[in-house]
Amino acid sequence: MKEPQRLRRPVPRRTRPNRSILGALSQSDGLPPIADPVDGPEAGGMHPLGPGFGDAAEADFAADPLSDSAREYIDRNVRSASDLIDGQIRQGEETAKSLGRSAFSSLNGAASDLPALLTGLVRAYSDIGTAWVDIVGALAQKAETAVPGTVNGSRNAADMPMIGLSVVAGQPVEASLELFRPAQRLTVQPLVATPPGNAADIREVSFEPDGSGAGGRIRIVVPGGQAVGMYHGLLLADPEGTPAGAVTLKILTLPEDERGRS
Amino acid sequence: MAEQRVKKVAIIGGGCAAVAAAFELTRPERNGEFEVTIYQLGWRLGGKGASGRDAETGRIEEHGLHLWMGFYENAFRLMRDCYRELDRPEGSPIRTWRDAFKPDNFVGVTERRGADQWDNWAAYFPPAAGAPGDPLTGRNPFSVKGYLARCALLLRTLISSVQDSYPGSVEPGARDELAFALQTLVASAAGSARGDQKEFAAKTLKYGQLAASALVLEALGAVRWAVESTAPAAGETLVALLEKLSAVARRQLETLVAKNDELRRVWEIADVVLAIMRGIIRDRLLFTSQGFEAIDEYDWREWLRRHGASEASLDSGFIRGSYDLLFAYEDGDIGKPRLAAGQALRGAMRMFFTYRGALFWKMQAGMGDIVFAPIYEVLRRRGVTFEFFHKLENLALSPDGSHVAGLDMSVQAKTRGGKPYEPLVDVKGLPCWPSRPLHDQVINGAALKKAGWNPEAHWEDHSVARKTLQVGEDFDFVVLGVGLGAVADVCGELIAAEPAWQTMVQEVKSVATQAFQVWLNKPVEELGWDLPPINISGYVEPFDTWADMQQLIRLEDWKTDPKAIAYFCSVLSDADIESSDDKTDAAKRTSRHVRDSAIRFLDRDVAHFWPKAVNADGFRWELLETGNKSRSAKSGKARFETQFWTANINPTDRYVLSLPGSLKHRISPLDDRFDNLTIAGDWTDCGHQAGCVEAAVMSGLLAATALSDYPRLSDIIGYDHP
Repeated sequence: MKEPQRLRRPVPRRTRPNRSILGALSQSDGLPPIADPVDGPEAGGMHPLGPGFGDAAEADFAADPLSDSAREYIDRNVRSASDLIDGQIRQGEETAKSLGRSAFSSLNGAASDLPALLTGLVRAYSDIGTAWVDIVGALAQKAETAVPGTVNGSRNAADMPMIGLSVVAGQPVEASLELFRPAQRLTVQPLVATPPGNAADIREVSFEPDGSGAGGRIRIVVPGGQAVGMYHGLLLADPEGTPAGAVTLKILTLPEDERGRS
Repeated sequence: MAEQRVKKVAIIGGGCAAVAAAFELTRPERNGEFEVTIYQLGWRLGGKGASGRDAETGRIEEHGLHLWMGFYENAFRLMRDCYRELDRPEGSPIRTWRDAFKPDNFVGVTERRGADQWDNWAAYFPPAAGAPGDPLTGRNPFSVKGYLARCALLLRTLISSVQDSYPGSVEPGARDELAFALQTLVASAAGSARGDQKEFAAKTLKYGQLAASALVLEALGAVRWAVESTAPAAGETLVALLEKLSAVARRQLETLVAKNDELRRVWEIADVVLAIMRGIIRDRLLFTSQGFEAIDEYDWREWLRRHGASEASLDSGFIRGSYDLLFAYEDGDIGKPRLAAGQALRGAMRMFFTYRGALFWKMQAGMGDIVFAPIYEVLRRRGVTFEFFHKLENLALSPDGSHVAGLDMSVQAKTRGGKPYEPLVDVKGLPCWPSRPLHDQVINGAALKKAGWNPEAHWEDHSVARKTLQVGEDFDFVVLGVGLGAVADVCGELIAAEPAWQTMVQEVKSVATQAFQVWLNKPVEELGWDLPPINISGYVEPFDTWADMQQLIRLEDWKTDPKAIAYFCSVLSDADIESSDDKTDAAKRTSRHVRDSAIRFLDRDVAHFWPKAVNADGFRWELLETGNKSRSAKSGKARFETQFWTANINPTDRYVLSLPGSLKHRISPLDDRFDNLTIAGDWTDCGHQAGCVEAAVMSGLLAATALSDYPRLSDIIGYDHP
């Protein structure tokens, strides 16, 4: 008996949301056809996220989400946001030190003088609380005013390395990179299947520093016929050899012609 | 080149996800690439969202309360496209999507004030620009950085507004901003003392104290964190001291707010916002590739607590309301509130910061009438085939386990003369679904009606035929759009073949729900309700949520119109679901349990909302509007028999939970383990992991993408949300 012709689903480009900071950039304006043109906007009001969402410069920017300028723009903002957080931590440390001195001197002297300590803490608030809110507020301003090609208040940008990820594969993959802490040079461990099974490790992995020494690119070559599944590899900071991040690679179903089906 | 043949798609189920997939696959611009058949259990589309019209009064009977939120971009886009294509003639009821959905800017919560004392609080959220489903203009707003920024501004606004100016005096031009929502929130907390300048001065002073106390606490928290994260060993003594100071400051703050409701409410919001901001920064949600999923192992309250939210804030109406809204009680046990923190945070951010038009949108008739009847009409016009009364019994795998080879169906009823079943009825000119099958269209209908046949019931096994659909002949692709509760029953072969499916059915859980509706012959204002028409949650169990549905009166078909319609709903504990070998009898006993709970609620608890509906003997049963005929003879508590209640215990009717640690076990519609199958439903890994219309529609869109690479993932709004 003749077997009926059978159709198969197309191979998915990916199977998971891209929730990284770049993910939002891939969002389009929405499905065509667009909403009914006779529907005007709701009377009054602005976008709940406030000003900065919808200006022309950013609309143009969103139209080409994967352009080099877009990536640079986001990279810069990620770096400067990191700097701001680092700044926050540093300020916290300094305040903690000064508070510590004050607290310990109080303990040595009048340990029960809690009201005085509280007064000191209110003062401490002006050192750290204001900075805390303002730092995060600065993020808001950046979100609202930054446009491509503009660096806003980026401090010590060179401290944060730029790590790229390059995957060579003959089958569809999803890859992500997470850095736990800054590291300018890395060693990449082989990628191991999770959960461990019969799948071979992916061993052709390397880190290629860029010319400036302030970053580089992780390169992964997936062998032909590598088993479908999830793989993880640890990134070690050089020369300390301590964990600095992880790379995750998901190998999706093999393409049609490699499945060996009739 | 050979012409491609039409691809046959069997869609199992007719809920939001299934019909969204059908809508996408049959868009006119696809030029008939797909030939779609929807196989539907029973007599109506809708799944958990199905509603029906009572034959006598035309009253709407729902599974529960369905509110659409202003961030349901994909769901609104679907409905707007649907109504445009439907193109009802001028003068028709519910002609456009604007007729179908109306903005609702109030959200209410109840607050516990003691063992038996509760307060109501209504907050007004101002209209935001645009309407859900409009094209997004400019940069996509769904970024953690954007949310963090708005949280910071919101907090600053909150503190500065209460400190520097009286909340009632909003600056000109500020009314459009979210800040105004907060000020209004504060103003509504300020209550009756608006015109009292002396009182105003005292309030300002107290707000100042509040702000100072809050900031001291914040400073303590920040310092402690800095110490712990930089020098954990050396800082132990200092941390211990800070603990003591925190306790002192917190006691001061709690003493301050304990005496004043408005301060307490402001503090609770500020406290939660602060915890969110701390959490986002400390857990590095700004930068992680997982987005908010990174914290999905935690319970929402647990995560907020980790980041310093007080117990009082964690028990506040807004936090309790977030659990109620998502029926987030494991096993239906109100003692086990459990909600994945990442999804809760995603939901809260989207709900409050990305709504368009209004925070809520209320349907202007039943969900079946507003959503599923128009979609049914459009799909039929496009050539979609509907096979009602078809119950999937088994999804058969091919011998090599690679694809679905067959679909085993039970046919629950056949139509007279083999004609297509015409499922809709006309109620005041509006096509609606009936609340019972249209027996006159099916063979042996009178006998089935007399026997109380309910083909939607899981335990109903009446069958007039069996059929098996074969791959390559009857279908090429399958969209499994059934509710989660049916998956274990019909997918045994898939579960045995694929460990991920096995884990999914074990770990992704659901909960039964209960609801009742009453029609009153007095408006609620006359019964003592003094706030705007409202949806209010966070109240005492067993019915924690009330929605005023007075907008439906004109759409129903009573001889004498009721003056108010009220919906109540909540979870139903698994412990309250009767079990027995006789499933029909067990279901009836569970239904009686819900009825008795509703009667008890009206007698004992509803006075909090409607004080004048209750006298010394309990609820005034004569307030219930009964309808036209035999119902009016009832008196006393028996009069409640004329109202509507439901125990949603069918496996497919159970609400899907977002339990901590469970979301990673969901399977995506894009997953291609079985090469001619995709799945659709709010139980799938669809980007927004909550039981709601938006998640279901997103899942349906993903199912269409899985079969055709369209729509593009970037076109599904919020799929790549952090």
